[in-house]
Amino acid sequence: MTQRVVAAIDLGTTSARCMLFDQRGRMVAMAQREQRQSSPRPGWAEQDALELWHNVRRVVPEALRSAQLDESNVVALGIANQRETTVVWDRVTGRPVARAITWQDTRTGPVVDQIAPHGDEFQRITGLKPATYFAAPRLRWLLDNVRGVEARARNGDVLFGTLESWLIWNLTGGPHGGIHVTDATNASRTLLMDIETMQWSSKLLSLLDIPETMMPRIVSNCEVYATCTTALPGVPIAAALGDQQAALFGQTCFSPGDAKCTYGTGAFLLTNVGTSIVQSTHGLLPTVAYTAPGVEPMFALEGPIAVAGSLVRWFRDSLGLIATAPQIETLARTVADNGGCYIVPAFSGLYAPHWDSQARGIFSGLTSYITKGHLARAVLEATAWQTWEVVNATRRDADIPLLRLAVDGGMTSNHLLMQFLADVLDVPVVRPFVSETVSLGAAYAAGLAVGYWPDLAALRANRHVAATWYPSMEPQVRRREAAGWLAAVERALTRVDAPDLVGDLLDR
Amino acid sequence: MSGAIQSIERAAAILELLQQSDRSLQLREISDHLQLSKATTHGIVRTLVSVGYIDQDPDSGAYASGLRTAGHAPAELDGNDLRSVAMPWADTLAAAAGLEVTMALLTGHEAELVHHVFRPDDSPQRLRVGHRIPLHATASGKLLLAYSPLRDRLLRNVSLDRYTRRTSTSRTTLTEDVDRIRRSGVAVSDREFEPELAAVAVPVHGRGRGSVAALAVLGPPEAVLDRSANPAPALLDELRHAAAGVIRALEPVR
Repeated sequence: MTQRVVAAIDLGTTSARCMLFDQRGRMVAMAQREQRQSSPRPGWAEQDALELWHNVRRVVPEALRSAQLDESNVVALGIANQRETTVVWDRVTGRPVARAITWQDTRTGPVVDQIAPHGDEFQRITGLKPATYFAAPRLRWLLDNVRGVEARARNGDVLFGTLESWLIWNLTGGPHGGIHVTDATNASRTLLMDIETMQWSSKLLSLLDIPETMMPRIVSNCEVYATCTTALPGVPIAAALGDQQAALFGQTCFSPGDAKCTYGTGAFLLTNVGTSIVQSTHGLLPTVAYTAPGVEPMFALEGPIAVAGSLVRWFRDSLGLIATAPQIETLARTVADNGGCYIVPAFSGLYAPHWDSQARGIFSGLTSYITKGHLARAVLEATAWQTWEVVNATRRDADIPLLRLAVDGGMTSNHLLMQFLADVLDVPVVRPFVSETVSLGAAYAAGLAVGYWPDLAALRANRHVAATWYPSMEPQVRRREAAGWLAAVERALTRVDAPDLVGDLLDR
Repeated sequence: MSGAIQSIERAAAILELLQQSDRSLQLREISDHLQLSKATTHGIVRTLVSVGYIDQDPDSGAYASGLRTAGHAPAELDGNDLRSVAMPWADTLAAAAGLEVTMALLTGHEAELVHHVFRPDDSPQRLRVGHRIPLHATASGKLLLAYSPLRDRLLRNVSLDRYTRRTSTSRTTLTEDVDRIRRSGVAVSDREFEPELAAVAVPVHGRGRGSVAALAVLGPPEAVLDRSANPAPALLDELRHAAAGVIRALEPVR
């Protein structure tokens, strides 16, 4: 019998990857290429969209070859991508008009300031407050700053898309009949999609003066959009999701209250809130979790944390206190606790739930007693406490109790961090077997669309637990440490109205 | 220099040679290089091994600089580095075998679990990272004992407590086991520590430094062993494949 697999392409920040999954959800092959990022000015972050496309054309055949398969074995392709990264390209030549502006780029401050008076309007329609984090201000910046693009956009000669749009257009023929679509999860991060109707808001398009002719058609996450003409010729493209929503799907968080956190450079906690949008008043982002034809869309509340693994990297590279990232745990275990020391890693402000772009990082509680071991503990604990803050905000916004937290990403190999996370959240922390949840989620959605898997229950049956950490911290210790963390955060924030949050958060 | 002690000069030359070499060296290579007889070289090298200044690789017999010469940067495998590198391999192994997987390092007279992957059946299980297990009653422990540069001393001193009816408390049997493990590169335990569990362990080398970790699969005896209590052949292949993957993945970390 010929082996049938689902392919997933993940366009991440640092690499393009292709993975193949079998019916039991096991990874059969993987190939990846590193991707360059450039920062021509402070706060700018760019990538070459053509390089991304060329990398995809390389990793797909590499993955097939390593499993000794070809495209005839592939039943469907799913795509996951770094979100909010913005590409504008020429419909005729297929060439980008400028380098892609990635999600880490903060050049669009002036655009955001311009639309700030309409902030409530944006929030009412999209669920999001204008910020440099989202795609639309980048599109406006490109229209303003690349010569001739605005006029050509009005003629329908140039197209806008996030990375999945760019990839699908190229996979389906590019200038020769490529289809121009975006999925609802990526569209929900542009600042232009009406989160109720899942269509572009003509009001917001006109507020930003963006011609609708350049916008892709919004499609669901789980349906056959078209068939590849290149890279995987003949294979249906059957799913596209933003990477964090893909991870939520890959973790099989299909029910309200299911939550996952992916620990990489930053950390992204998404909680499934069900089929109704939950607006946030506590600093979270309402977002589309998953849509498919004929079923009600699922929504999520998201809390992005800017600095997680990157704090460990800073500790290694800039302070030089450890030789490898995992050795932070070795160093942390030289002491029994943090010695009263806390680190708030507000390197580029704080994201959820504080959203203070002017906040700056601090060490607090330094005494002559503190050793590098205590600092290592404080580094790891910072990631757990930031997660705790997002979990608290989610509970207040959505009134859904967190029963357990599913985790993935590189930092899940840190045993001390995972135990501390369970301790401060006071719920079990669960690591599944397939750690590549982003690619797995894209594969799951694509396989579902073509009937490779019958339903969500079949996907859930594939999921097995590789490790569980159970809470074991005394409540009074948790309370004391929470107070220490919140006091440190208050010192890092620029606003002065931080109330006494401790009692508020802990006296449920 | 008058009054110089020749054997100390020679020992220093051997240490220098090993430190400058990017690989471990056989006795003959050392003696050729220093233009000494093999017997003389062997005497000095054995002395340096016994005081921990050089290590001998149990498989190849080759010599390399030991822990004592590494100063503040011990050449030991770091358990946390190991877990980070090994995680995908251990996950794949546990998923394919349908059994739980552990990794362990020698610490004093015990083995410490540095990684643990659950049996993929979603039954309630407890994470045992950080737990200590005895050397004489577990597959990982016996393997670490066999590959330790200090094995002779450990074989004399380790306490042989009884945990189950099947725990062997004979020092002679343990010594024979250790010799067999060094020849075959695989260790087995059968209900010797926990009454229901058998295990098979293979070594993961930290690049010729004498520092070794044990990668093990654990499960009911009928899933792990064949009828004659040897490792089930297919399982042993999977285990060795995973160990080779971890060893390759460790290279850039070192």
